[in-house]
Amino acid sequence: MNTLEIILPLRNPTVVLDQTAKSLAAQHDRRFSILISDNYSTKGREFIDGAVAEFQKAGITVRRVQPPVELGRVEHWNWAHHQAETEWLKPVFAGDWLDLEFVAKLRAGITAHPACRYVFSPYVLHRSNTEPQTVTSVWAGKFREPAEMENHVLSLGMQFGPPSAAAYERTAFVAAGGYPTPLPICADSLLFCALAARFGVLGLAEPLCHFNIHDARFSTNLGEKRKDTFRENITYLFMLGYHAWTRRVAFSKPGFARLLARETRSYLSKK
Amino acid sequence: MSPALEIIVPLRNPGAELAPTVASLVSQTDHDFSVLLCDNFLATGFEPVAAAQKQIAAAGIAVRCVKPPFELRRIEHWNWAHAESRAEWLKPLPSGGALKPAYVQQLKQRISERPQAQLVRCGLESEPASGGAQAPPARASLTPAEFLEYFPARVEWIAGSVNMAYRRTAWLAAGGYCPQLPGCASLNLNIILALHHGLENVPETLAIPATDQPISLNASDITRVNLPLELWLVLRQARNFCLAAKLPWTKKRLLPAGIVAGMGRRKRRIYGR
Repeated sequence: MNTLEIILPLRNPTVVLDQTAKSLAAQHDRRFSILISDNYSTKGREFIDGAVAEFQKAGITVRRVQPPVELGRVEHWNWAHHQAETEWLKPVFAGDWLDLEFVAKLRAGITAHPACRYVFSPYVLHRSNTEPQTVTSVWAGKFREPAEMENHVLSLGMQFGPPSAAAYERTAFVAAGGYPTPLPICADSLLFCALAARFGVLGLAEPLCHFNIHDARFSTNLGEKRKDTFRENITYLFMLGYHAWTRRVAFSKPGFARLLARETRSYLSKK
Repeated sequence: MSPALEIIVPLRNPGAELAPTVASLVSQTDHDFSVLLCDNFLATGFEPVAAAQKQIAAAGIAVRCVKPPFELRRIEHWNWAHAESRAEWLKPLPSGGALKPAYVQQLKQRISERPQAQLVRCGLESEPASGGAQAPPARASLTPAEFLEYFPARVEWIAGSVNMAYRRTAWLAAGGYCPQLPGCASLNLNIILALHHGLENVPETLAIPATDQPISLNASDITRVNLPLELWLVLRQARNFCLAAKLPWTKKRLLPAGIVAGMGRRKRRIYGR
């Protein structure tokens, strides 16, 4: 792993950005740079200035960029990723934070597994008024080959956590077509499942990322978009299943049917 | 300084079909563009690529050859090649495809007339002369809502890459071609961009598709495609976008009749070995 850039796509950030910035500035391994992409914020610019100052104080290289025109949410993620020119990319969203050894553990994992192009970490979920909840994954703790993951993602679906828990090689991200913009709710699900099935995945052993469902976050209102979420889930799972069919991948058809049934049951049970 | 237009030619073991592609670039009336040849770990075809590079350079057109860090699959390679370009406008040109001599000139003219353009399409030689229900020949520009009037009754007019050009920002923001849809990757991208930004339509026939096979499968990877199923997945995504963007979407488009209409003249539905 030669170079790493941490990408912060921002749009009207709030005070929650402070904790994100502090966690990055305090990383034990500081061999990374930071790219802040501001998608035409109309408020909260003082928090962006504060984050830049925090990084500069910590001696971390930071760049500020802005798309030529205002972009949609997922479009902005893609654009920001394409502005990075390092070998590895790591998105972090405002409000999320990383434990101090995240970068060090990421670097150690990639060095130990040179074939690895996609890494995720278990994470701690923070919601207002509830206790933090650690979310681990069946794939945490080791590197799994693409042949194994091709089958697994079609039986278990998205088990990789949010984008802030992920890091990937730039080539892999670009080749995979980035975050699919027509699926704004499940864009990360399709990308991460596709990356794992294509390149394999390294799951870090410990939860090193904190996923904060704060008030300004898109995910906060997902409960009201259950129908949209279900529709997108079914679409991305069919896309994964279809892609495996085109390549004659031997995957468990009953396992895939059970996965679709679980999604449907989950949607109907809360309807 | 980055060029204003770069024509991207993804290559994988090209043969004689590269010659007309290169000849069409050299014969452009406007040479103010650059060419990016992207070599996805050639096993054969070194001579045609070297000859192409020499011929393009000899015509006074800037040309460079790049190679991904490791071997990629077909659509992954397209994405990587596009991302390598720094030009303001990107124009894919598959090996075997060709452009009429006025293409670059007319594309630039349209871009200068419509500075907000993000996606420009031109006529394709294989289309029926009448156009009719397929392409909107009389319309110079389509808004996203107007685009839906022509779609998906027939999709062939928007299904390829040889007759399309993209503003780089729009392409990067869309992420690129979808590897999960190997038979309809271009269609999917074109629809996403047209629904986002609208479409500029140059009615003149300025592009000639590769004629070797209707669906170019990657021999080392994809072994079969099911076009009706892919079209259904494309339409599901388009519907999702339309609902979010509050564009007029009718449920009929996702019904089997809509899919059959969208298939158009492509009678063969499943390609593969």
